[in-house]
Amino acid sequence: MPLIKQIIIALSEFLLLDKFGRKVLQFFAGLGESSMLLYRSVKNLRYIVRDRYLIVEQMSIVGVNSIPLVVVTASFAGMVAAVQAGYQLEDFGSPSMFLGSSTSRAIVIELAPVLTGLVLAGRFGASIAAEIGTMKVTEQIDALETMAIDPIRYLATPRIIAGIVMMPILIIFADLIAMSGSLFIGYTTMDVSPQAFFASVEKFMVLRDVLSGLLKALMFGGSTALIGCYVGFATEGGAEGVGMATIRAFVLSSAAILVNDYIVASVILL
Amino acid sequence: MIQIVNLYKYFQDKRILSGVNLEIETGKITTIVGRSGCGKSVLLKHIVGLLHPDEGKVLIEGEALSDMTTDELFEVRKKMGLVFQNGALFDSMSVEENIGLGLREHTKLSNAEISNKVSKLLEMVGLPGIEKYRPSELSGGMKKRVSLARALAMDPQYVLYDEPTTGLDPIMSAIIDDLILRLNNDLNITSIVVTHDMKSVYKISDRVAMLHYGIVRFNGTPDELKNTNDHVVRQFIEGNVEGPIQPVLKDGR
Repeated sequence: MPLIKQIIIALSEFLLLDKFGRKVLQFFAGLGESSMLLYRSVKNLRYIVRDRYLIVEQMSIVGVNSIPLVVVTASFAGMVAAVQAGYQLEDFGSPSMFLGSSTSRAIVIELAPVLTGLVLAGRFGASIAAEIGTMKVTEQIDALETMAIDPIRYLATPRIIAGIVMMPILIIFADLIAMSGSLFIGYTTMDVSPQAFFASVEKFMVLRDVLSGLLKALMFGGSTALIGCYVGFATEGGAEGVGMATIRAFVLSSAAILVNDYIVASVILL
Repeated sequence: MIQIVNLYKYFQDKRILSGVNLEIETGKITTIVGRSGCGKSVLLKHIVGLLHPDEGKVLIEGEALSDMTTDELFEVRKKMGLVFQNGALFDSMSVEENIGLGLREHTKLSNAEISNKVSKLLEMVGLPGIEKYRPSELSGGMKKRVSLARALAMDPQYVLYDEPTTGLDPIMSAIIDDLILRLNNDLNITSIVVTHDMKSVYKISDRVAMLHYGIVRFNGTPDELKNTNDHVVRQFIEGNVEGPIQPVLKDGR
């Protein structure tokens, strides 16, 4: 019996290692393929003037259509930040001196970029994967190729540019909305005047805070669009494949946002 | 002329094409027949360079597709049009945008000139006035004809059809067949038609090639096809259950 048990354990360990090894190989293959996609997209920047209509169309889809979602996310993030800060500042007496700076710095550096990034990963990252994935499984990508149109130039490059350009704009917008939400809570529940709120912001917030948030936004926008495109082009099968691609794009984009968040925070703030 | 030389293709461990040799004559209609899953569409995708052979090559006017750069391949593709089995129309675009996309991308024609050409192409395929329709509003037969109009937009020398009559009623199939014949005669286009509709094969073909187990089992005229003594080919064209081709059913019967 012990021998059989040992064999079973050895076999299961081998199978687990085999499965783990496959996953590692798949990860590096995906990393290589998405790097190639990025390289080919960057090469297509020479067509940026010719493809301006495609880029503007994608900017509208990523930017304008995301505004309602950003407003809801950012306003509640700002209000929650104010409630939390007010609760913690109670121990130090009046929250009026620090509420503006503490909430605004948290919003600009972390809350607005990450929360907006995650929400948009679900919105436009997944929608890019679903759109390109559907085109792949219905032979529309093949149709583009037979018409001598490079699918990466036509589909991926405009979406990646739109992500990189529009995400910082959306994050600045989210910053303002979240700070307004924070001020609203401070004014209505903690008697913090707008003057005191903004005086605190002016006194403690530094340019590095804003730049850190914007750099994050840029990386989040680029990575979300790139992952959406990569997953879309790699879609196989029918409707089930498109569904899996949508989930995969959201999960990978969210993970990429958290990793990028840490990298930028380490580089800029440490 | 299109030449397919000793073409092999594997998908993972499964061999789909096992040394296909075929010449497509200029200005003629060549149909490629064979059982479902025998590699007809795979062969078609090699001819437009959507798939790359594991061995062998496809020569277009003497130039091997596999030796071309991406830009050279795109130049060759501008001379080709492919009509997909399910149309493969871009569902985010109108019919006019679908047909005019190639013209917008590769020519300096104005919007008015493109609209004019799109209208003429739609008339040619018997669908005037549907420029503003979306693909989701079209029937299967209409989608195939719009796909054909799109394939013709760049005035191609070669048009490839992937099962153009599959899933259509007999009248619509006859309309598509007449269209293929008319385009071939009027525009002197070289056509390659992948199909297993034998009625269409006899009606439109100048040459017929039958793929079986990854090789060209038969290559000749429709008359030669009718009179062949090859039992495998005879079973296929007559649609007999009994014969050398033994269909394997899912339940093992």
